Amino acid sequence: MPFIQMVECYKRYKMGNTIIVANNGINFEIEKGEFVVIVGPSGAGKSTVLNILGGMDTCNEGQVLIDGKDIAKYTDRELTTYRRLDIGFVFQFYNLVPNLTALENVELSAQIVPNAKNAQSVLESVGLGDRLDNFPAQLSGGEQQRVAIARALAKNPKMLLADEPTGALDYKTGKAILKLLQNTCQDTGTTVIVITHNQAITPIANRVIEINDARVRKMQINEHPVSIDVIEW
Amino acid sequence: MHKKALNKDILKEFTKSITRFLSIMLMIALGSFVFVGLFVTGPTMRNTLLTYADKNNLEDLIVTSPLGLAMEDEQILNSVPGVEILDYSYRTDLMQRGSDTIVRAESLGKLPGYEILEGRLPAGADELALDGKMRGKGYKIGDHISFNPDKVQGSYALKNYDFVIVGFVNSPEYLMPTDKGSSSIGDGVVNCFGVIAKENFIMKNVSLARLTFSDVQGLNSYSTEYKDKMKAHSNAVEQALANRPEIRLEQYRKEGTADISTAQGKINDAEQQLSDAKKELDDARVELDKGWAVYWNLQAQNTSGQEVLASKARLGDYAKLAEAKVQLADGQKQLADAQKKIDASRTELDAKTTELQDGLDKIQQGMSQINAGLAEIEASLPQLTTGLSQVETGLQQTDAGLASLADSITLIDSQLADVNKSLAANAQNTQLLQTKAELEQKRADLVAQKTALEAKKASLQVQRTDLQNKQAEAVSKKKELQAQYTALVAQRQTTLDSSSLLTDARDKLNNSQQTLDKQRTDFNAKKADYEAALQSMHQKLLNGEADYEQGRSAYLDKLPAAQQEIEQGKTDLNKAKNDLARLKVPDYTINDRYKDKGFYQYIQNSESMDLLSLFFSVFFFLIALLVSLTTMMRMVDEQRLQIGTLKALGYSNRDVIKKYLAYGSLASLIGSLIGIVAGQKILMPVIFNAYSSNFLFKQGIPLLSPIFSVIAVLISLLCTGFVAFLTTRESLKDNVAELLRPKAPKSGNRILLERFTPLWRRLSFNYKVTARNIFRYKKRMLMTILGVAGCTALIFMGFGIRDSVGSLFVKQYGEILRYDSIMIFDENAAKEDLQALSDGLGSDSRIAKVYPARFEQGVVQIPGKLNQTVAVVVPEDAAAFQTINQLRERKSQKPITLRDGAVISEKIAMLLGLGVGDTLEFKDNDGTFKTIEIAGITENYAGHYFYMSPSYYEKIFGKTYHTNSDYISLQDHSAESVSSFSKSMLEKDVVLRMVNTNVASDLIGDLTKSLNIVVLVIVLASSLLAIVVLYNLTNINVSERIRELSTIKVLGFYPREVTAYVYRETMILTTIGIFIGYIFGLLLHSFIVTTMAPPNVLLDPAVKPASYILAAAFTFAFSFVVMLITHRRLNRIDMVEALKAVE
Repeated sequence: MPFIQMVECYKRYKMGNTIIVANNGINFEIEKGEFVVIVGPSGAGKSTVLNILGGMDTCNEGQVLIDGKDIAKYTDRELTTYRRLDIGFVFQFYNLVPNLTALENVELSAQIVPNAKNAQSVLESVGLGDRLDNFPAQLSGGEQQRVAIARALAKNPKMLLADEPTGALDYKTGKAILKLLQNTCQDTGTTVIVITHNQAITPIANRVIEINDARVRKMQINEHPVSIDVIEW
Repeated sequence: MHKKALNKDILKEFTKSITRFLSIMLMIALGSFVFVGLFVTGPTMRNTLLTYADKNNLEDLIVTSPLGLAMEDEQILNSVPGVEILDYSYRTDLMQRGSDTIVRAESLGKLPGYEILEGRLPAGADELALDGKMRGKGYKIGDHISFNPDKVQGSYALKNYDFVIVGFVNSPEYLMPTDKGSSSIGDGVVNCFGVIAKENFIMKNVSLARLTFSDVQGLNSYSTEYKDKMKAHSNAVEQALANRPEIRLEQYRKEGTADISTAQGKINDAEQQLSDAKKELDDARVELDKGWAVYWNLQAQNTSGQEVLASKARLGDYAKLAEAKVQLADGQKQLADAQKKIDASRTELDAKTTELQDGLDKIQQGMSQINAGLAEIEASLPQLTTGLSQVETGLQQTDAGLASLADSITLIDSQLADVNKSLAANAQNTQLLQTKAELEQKRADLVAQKTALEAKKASLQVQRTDLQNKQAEAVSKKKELQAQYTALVAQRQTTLDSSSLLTDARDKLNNSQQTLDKQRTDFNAKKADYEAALQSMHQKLLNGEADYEQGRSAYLDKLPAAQQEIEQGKTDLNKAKNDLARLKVPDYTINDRYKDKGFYQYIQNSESMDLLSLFFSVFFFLIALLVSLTTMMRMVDEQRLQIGTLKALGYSNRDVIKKYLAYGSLASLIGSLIGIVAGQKILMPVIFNAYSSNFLFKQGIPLLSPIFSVIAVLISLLCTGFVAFLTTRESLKDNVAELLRPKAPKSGNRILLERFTPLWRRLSFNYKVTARNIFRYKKRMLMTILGVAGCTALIFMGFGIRDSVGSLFVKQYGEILRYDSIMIFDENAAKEDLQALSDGLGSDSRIAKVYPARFEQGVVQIPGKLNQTVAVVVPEDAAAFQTINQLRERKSQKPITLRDGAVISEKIAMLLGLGVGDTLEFKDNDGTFKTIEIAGITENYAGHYFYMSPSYYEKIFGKTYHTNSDYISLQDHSAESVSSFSKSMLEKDVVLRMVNTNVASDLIGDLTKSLNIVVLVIVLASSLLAIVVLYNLTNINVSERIRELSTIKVLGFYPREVTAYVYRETMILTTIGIFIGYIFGLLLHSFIVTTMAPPNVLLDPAVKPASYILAAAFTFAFSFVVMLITHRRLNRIDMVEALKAVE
């Protein structure tokens, strides 16, 4: 049985008088420890999928089986617990708490999980050992995103979800971030799902899910994913 | 150019952020509600008062004197310049017949105008318009009402004392329905006033004069111009009347003295007559008593007439009788003596006769005895002779017998000898032996016979001797008897001779007895005469007695009336004397409107209201405005992007600003209008009623001054619309590109606290975050603290005022004054009356203890304020007095002992700004100024008191100390018990006045009632403000940090944790705010408490711990409510939406 399985998932938003269908019967599965890239153009419904997987949103119809449990049937409270214990989230705009230092931002998430990693060592592992006491405003975008990844990793999550993690970063920094994610997946065995609109980076994934117009158009498994270092775009 | 889209956007903004709009509106509304509501109350109160006073022609000045105004006074007043109306009026206190209602009757004149509630003013002599408040007590138009026709100062006040009620009126002079002043009759409290026609009064002097002045007509009485002009007028009147008191006092003294001497003469005459009648009766009595004494003495058996005569003083006309009694007694005695003599002689005679007879009898007896003896002897002699011969014969026979015997014996002896011979031969011869024995026997018998016979012969010889003796004796006796007999015969002869002498003597005696009997008859006749005389004397005495009795009962019948008349005369005289002694310099009271108790009190109330509004509403408004301001600024900040977009699209700055200006202005306009209307229509009437509850005014006449409304609207607009305008303009200074980028969230910073590493390290992670956040938004931190502090301060002040007022009663009448009543008695009353009073108190079982003291009243003038009445209390025993009237320092609670100098109550010291060691001047009962040194300041909350020791009193007043009152502590402290006790005491003539603590406490009760409402309003408004402020600030906090909050939600914070994450700050700030609020609150409270209390009430500035707790609890409760609201809102946050890339 796959680790993650989305079955006939529908999500509709009501915007005034019109109904926008964000997910129109999404189906896919992901195995444990995979590095997954979900790709598609803006507004295709990728973020909705990720939000549903991350327990931030719920689908109107269908099943979302995570490790055999259908989180689509979870209550708000269960979803929160699910987010708290199983999910690490990385946003495009980092969403660090500006009033907390890098270390404190990581501690913020570490302190709510029982078997969290040491915040400082996580930050060191993402290469920020010398910026522990800097506030987000004192960090560059890449550094901020590293803090965000460290914050997600400190919780020791079952899966790491990243929504356009490089969207606000320059090419080089973006690449470094993707590298960090890929290494994390390889080194810790954490399932990593990355959303991007950049087709170019699909080769680095174990599994590529293409979403277009609210549906999964294509799902492809790379037997031999390449390192990010060899890819250019 | 129509900017339809823009206008639509503006309209949409209202609906989109309706809660923000409403909250700004509500805050502004609350602010202006309180601001306007409170600010208009004071002016409205004054306006109501002044309108009423002017409409009903309340005089500008009133001149009164306790003795009325004399003609000379009228003359003086008539010439006072600038007077528009001068109206003289009569006034007297009447007691309703059959009830203890005291009506202050006034004559109807030009001033003041009465507000007619029902019916009309009196026209005829028997018509009366009654105090409007009596309508509520069952009095109706057409009712008859009669009063006791009591004399006032010796004469009747009215022609007629029976009235018909024709109307009900209110008077501008009696603004307080429950306080109509005090009276010298009944229980001393005037219940209501009444208006009657002037012609009805027959008083010598008018009671008062009312004046209005032409130059103050139409002036606002509250204006400085009015006050200044009136000051000049009242000074002028005062000057004009300055000499009058002395002159009048002299005049009254003269009149009084004359009256007294006339009255004294009358009493003396009556007393003389009475005593004459009494003397006459007494003389008669003495005369009668004398007669009776003599009579009874004469009558008595054991008194001699001599004794009676000896006591000549009591004899009088009765000498003759006494002499007769003496003569009678003498005659009686002579008769008795003579009789005695005769009786004695007779007795002697009788004794002698008896003696003679006895002698004769004895002689006779002796003779017969002797004869008998002789006869006996004669008879015995032959017998003796016979006897002798018999004995001779016997002797001869005996001798013969003896001889024969001797023969026989000899024979036998011979025989015996034979025998013995024979025997000698034959010794064994039985026969012989037998014969010998027989012979021996025979011989023995014969011997025996011979012995017996010899004995017989001897006895016969004795007999013979005896008989011979007897014979001789009888012969000698016979001879003797014969001699005796002869002697007796001689004796008998002698006796018979003396018997004839005795018979002669008896004859003589009988003669003298006859003479005596005749004398006795004479005497008895005389005695009968005497007794008849005595009888007639008795009759005379009885007649005299009857006459006396008649006279006496006639006297007694007349006596009570006469005595009463005299007693009454004396009482009147005493009273007149006392009155004269107590006659004081007649006090001319010249009162302008501000010295009218009701008027002044109401003005005072309105001014304290002004003060309260200033403090409360400004503070309140300020907070509301600050919060609205923050909200508006936040709104503009939030819409940066939109502003940028509009600008990028080419809209002018004006167009962009228009939206925020409109939003803010509309919110504040609507809000302030609601607030203004509600403040004037709801808050003002509530406060007005609270403050007017003791007054006639039921509804305020709002002073339609728009100034406060305009101020409220302007300030509101300034703080919302104008701030929006400024903020937007500030934002617009940035270039478009900058505007289109989200405003970088405030970056984090190390805070000062982190430098204290040990402390910082000890904080939990959550608190570190909170601490950082608090200092991150300094402006909001200050705002929250200030808002919370303000609300806490106001709530605290509200409860504090309640404490101060509420504790007043407990402290004043539970701790400080513990007696139930002060009984003030007439110290000039007769000694025995005072003694009776004090004895009565001693035996009254209702009384627990009595503490004698001196109680006087004085007046202290306070610059710029109403004169304050002060009670001067001089306890006889200061130590005992301390137990029922505590003297202690308020702060230290240390008791104060009375020594040299006076101990004064705290409020008067405060009003005068004096402390221990200062001197104080006051006007005593007699109107003279005295200066005392302040030795201590004692805790006291209602009224003013000067306490001093008797020695200090004597030093200051230069009088000898006497008590004139008793502080009484009763067994039963209940109001009914005290009231019935004081009523019963007032019935005594010596008791002048009773002051009950439970009556005094009414003052406090009223104050408490009106303040409670104000406090309620303050607490309610403050609570509402606290909620709105906290809500708004939290709202801003949340919306400002929505991304941060969404992030932590995504991180998996449970809702509770999310709320705690953001609300922990608010709680900490609230706590800080509460403590700062205490400080503000204490300042506010002490200010309000010192300025708001009436001049004779001290509000205790101490606040109970409960109020601290309550204020904090209220604030925390509101914070909690807001937290719940925030919690719900945070729960509903759509994280996905919030975290989406910025629009």
